[in-house]
Amino acid sequence: MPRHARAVDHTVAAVITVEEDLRFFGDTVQAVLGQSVLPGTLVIADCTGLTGQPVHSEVPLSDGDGTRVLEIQIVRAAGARSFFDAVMRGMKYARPERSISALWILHDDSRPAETCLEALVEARRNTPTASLLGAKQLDWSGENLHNVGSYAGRHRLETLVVDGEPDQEQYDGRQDVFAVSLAGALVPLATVQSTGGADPWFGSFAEGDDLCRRICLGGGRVVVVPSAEVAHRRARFEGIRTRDGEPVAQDDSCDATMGVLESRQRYYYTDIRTPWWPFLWIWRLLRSFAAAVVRLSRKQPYAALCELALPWRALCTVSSAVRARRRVARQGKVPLSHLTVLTASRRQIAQWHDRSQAFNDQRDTTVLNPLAREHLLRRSVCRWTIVLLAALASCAVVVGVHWDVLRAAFGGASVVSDIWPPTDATFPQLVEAATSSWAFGVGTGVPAPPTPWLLVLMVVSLCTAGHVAAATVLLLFAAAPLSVLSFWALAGVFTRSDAVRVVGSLLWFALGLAMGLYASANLPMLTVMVFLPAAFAFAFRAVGMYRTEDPVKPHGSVQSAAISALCFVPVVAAEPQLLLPLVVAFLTFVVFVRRHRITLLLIPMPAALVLAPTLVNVVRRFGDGAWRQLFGDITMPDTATGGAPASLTLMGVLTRAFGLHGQQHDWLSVAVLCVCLVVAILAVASLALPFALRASRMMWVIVVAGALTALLAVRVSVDAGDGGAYAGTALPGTVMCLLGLMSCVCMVAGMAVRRFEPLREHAARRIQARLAVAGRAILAIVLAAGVCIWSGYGLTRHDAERLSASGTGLPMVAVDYLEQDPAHRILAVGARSGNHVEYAVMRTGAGDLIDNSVAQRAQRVSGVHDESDDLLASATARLMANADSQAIADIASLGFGGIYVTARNAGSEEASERLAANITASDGVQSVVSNAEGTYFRFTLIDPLHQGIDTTHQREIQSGVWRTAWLWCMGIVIVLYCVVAWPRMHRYDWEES
Amino acid sequence: MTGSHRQRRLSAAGFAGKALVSAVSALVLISMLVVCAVCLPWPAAVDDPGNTAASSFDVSTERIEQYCPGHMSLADSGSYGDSEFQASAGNITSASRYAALGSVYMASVEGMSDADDAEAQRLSRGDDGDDIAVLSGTVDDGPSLFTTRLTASEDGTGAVGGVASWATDGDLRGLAASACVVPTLSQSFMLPSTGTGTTQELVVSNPSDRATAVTLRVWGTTDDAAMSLTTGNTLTVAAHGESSIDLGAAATGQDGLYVTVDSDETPVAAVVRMVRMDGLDAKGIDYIPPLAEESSDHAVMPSLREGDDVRVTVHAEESAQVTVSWLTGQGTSVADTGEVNPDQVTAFDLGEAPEHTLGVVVESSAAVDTAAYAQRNGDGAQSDFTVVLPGVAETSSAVAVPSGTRGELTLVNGSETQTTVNVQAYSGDGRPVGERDVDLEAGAATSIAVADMDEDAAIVTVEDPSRTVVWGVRLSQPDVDDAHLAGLANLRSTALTPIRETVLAQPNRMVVR
Repeated sequence: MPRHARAVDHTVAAVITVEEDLRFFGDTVQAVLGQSVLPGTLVIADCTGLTGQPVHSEVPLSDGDGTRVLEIQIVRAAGARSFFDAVMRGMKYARPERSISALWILHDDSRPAETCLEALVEARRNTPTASLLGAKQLDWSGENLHNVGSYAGRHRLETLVVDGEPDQEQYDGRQDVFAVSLAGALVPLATVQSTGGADPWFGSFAEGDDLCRRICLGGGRVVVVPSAEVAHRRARFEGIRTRDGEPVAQDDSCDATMGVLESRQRYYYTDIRTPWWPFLWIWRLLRSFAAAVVRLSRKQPYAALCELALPWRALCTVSSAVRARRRVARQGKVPLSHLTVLTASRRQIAQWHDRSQAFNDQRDTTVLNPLAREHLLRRSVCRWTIVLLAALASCAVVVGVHWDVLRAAFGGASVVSDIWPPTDATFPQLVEAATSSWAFGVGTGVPAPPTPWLLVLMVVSLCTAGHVAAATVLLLFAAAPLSVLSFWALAGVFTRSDAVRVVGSLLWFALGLAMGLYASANLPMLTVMVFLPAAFAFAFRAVGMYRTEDPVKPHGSVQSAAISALCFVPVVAAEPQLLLPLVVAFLTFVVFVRRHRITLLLIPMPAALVLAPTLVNVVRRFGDGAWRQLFGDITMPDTATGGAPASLTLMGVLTRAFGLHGQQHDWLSVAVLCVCLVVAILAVASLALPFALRASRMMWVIVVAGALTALLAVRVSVDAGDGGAYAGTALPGTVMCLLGLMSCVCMVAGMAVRRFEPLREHAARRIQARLAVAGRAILAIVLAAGVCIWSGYGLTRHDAERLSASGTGLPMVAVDYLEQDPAHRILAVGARSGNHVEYAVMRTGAGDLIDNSVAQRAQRVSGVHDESDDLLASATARLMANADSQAIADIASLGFGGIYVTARNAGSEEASERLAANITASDGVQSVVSNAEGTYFRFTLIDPLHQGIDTTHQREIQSGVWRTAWLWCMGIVIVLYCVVAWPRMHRYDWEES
Repeated sequence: MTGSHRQRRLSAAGFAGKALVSAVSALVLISMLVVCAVCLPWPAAVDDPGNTAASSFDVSTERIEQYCPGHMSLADSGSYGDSEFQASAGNITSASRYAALGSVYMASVEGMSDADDAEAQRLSRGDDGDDIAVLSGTVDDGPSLFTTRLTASEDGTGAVGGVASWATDGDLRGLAASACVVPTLSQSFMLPSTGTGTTQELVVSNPSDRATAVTLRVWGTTDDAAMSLTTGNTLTVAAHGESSIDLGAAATGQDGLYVTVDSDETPVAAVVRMVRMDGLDAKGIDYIPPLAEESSDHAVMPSLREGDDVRVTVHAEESAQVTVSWLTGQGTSVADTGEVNPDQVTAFDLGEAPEHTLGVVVESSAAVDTAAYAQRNGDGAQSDFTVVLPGVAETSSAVAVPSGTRGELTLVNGSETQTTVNVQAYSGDGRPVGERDVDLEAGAATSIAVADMDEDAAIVTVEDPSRTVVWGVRLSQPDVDDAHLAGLANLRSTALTPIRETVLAQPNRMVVR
């Protein structure tokens, strides 16, 4: 419109508030100056505090008439608590003309349409009784609706407009509404005087709602003018501006949920009479938990936190809320029930919900062209077929090699190897051992934190209907296919080449074979092999750093973060020493990732909680050597895996991890180390790849951290052995190091994303692409050679720790006795030689794995002794030498009910016979069962009804408040993480892997 | 400068910076891995609190197991070359005697080699209350295992055995004797010179049914560090089996050896069978049993006589000033002094023993291990030797003189006060045949021929309540003497005191599988 044709309305002063963020201010001012009807005065209220003295200037409008000027004033509004507060502060410094009767108030990011003011002024003229005139709120493009006024709902406002729906003038019939947005509203000064203006306590998000509520309840009219359009960016609401008004980039937008929810809560409370508030608060408190869970299931952990915090924030502002409520009550003359026109009915609200849901579903779906969908489907069928075949093959190898063990397992046997004791525990016994800070297997028991891996076994036992022995077998045989799938997922983060992914995951499986994890039933390490790659894969997906199929775009995901956090739990529970490199890895990830850093913070919490008793014990008993338990795991240290503590180089660590030290250095042993070397060389190449600069460095930090952990672990003693201490296992550190290296090898394969080409042109393939394919083929062949070498070595060389099924265990009569009372114990002894006797405190029929306490072993190597255990040792030693009635009396005095001399597994049969003969010749025993397996003697000194160890201390610890607190915290956190990790049942959540 | 120029330069600078950071970080990471692979920082920073899983208990036992070595034999019995020059064992003969004294429930002897099927021979006991259980025989079929089960573990109760081996023909001319030894997990030996023609066959026997590995450590006279043997330092011994190693060949050219033998799993019995030859001339035979457990700074080696050519070897863990003296009935006279370097064997060549010599005393400023080597010449170029180990004073001790040999007691009072001991003799069938109280002045020594106690005396016990008297028996053999050959050997006294045994007890979850 030509300038001279425009009118200037001197009764209106436009006020624009402005902060540091000036990205939208220019557009807004331009739009105001471009109005068809100009306001007489334009006041810029500067909230930054940079404006000291008000600046006044008059811009003559060059249409020949000198009296027509536009007065522009820049005034100070520092310290404003809300938008309307800023307007009022600004007006205090401004010099308004006498003629002004209304304020046109604008945010710096609300850009009025050209005829906005004209429409408002005209509407005011037509409806002189209106106390407040609002504009139609559109998005910044000016095409989609935010709202067209609001109606009163149940103590909240309902816009009845789907946020984001296109503006087709479908709501333009609205006139009288309950509330309008203050951005772009025309506020008559009379209204300000009569109502006292908006209450800044409500904040920018709800002060307008409160003002409108007071106007309507006070008998005034709030009118929306649909023809007056304002394009509103809602910078703070959408998180692209901080609370302090600083600009934030769109990609890093912060979450304004807290502000929105709190202002909504303030409106809610002040809408209800004060006497009801206490009841209301309790209701809202209960509701907050449900709301938090709902938020978590929607993968909004921050919003869930806000929901939980809301009731407590309400408590902090009670006095202000009371004041605000009084104001509402004072100004209210008309009950809401009389304003039915301004109230949204249930039906309307329900309808609005349906429409919003439909709109959201429609908007979040990426509309793919059918050819693209076909391409994606073909790709996913292809890669799933390949990987499932690989998983099946790996499973077949393990089952084939250990077929006799699997068959025996169906008969109820447990797995046994040199490092893996059998178990005959019941599920309740397992739960007790996994959750009590009590080591049952030493003497009559000692306080020691539970072995964390037992929690993993507990969860797996749920899958086998509570059969613990079956759970160990399940873990052993399921580990092979699961570890293949797990590494396949990790490889998929770095490359989409099917060949490299599958061969890489087979190499990962072969690594387990080469380290003898299957042959020795090293279940904690197998747990690591299964969960560690998956945990890293999901961590990368959580921050959106992954490759995916062509038309699909990577994005960050809270759900992946939760799954990653849950995957790290079994890893650190199995091998607590991995906590050290994982802390380093976590800090590196926080530094290296581009965005979604906050998401990463979700990851460590469940693992830390699960390890809490161990970590607390490490800190409390640091001086007593409790820190050594970090480096142990539930397997029995053995010269084959552990060896004595020593300072080794990485070569020495690898030799120990692969079990090469006892063997002659033939070509296969050398080849095993050569595979490591080749993998390392390829991994070095990944550091130079421009497209994987960050990822390769992140994985290299894991490589170095893993290597350092292995070097450290072999220097620490974790258990006392025959001739000295046993060192911590080098396996976790080595595995972590190799995981990093193998990931880097996958990066070398390149992205290998098969482009989606709707119109395929075969001839147009470039030389470069062909070279890349050939390179990947060579890489896959090299890795396949590694698979052959590692698995060949694993299958042929790990015979020493050969897996077997457990035997018959204790005789039936002894097991019956143990099952009668949890306090019943039997001492099992076996003679290794004429002057070396071994013993075990039994509370189950065989083994038992669950009484194998890592913490207690750390105590033992640190020189902490238990009196009852020493007494048992001395008594068995005396019985080895002579018939000794006092020794029998000593054992019986601890509460033991019998003694079992094993014959089959003892080192020396002669010595076992001598031991049994010595016991027979002692007073106070009665031989009950004697066969080729061993001899069971019952103690006759104490009546069987009164036998049983003293469990007072144990029960004291088990009923302690710390245990309860730990279990509740752990349970709740794990459940909440599961809620976040659970896939949503909406199609648009389906993600490419 | 225009905006686009500036932007281009900025982005170029950004690219360069990024490349620099990438290169530096890659170098840092790679070098860290290489350092891990190659370097060994703080090699001493190893956490080893030194606690073992097994608790060790010293328990009294009512079961005594002793190993009695088999007859002397040639270490290398292969026949090659001309028959005249082949080594031959000649008319090697052996004799053994076993006795169980005090509260004995049962005692028996069985061959080591056929432990499973051989009939164990029981020691028989007369009807009289003072009789002891005895048995005599030979060890021609190899070593024997002497097992005694007691009804009480007390002073005066115990078992003693002795074996002797002699020949008047062949390459083993001379006399050798040893008391039976108790198997233990670790023991040590003091051996004489390993010069040319010397065979020192260390025989390690494992009486248990569990195989074990034995680690040897050897110190010589030329170096102050443990030697690595040319035949390897470990030896595996099968269950109920024997393994041997020739230390004379494995550590040749030393003037003396100190050897420790440590078994991993089960207690083992070890004895060195030493044979000396000089070309075709037999230079003597002897058994060398292990040293007593504790080294001492006042070692008394009895059973030496005037005319013996004596050499003393000494080993100490710290440097010590050593005085070696001749011991006679009247007291001591200094024969040699010298300094002993730590962890190195030192030999003192004392020459021929003077008149009235009954033994050698080694006094030192620190605890030492020592042994005396005595040699006599016989007709022709033949000679024989014996190795005398320091004796240990006990309240009650005994020696069983093998049948066919003659013994002569040497009693030495090692203390500063006068003392009286009771010597009791038993005949070969277990009857008490003689008793004598012997008064010994401070530092004095005396000798009594066993035959002087009684014609039939075969087992001698000494009661010494003050625990100051060290004694031993020097043996001779009539056949050897008649052939005008040198034949000397000695037997140590065996303690008749409560036996303590070390038993290890260790928790192990795998006991019940």
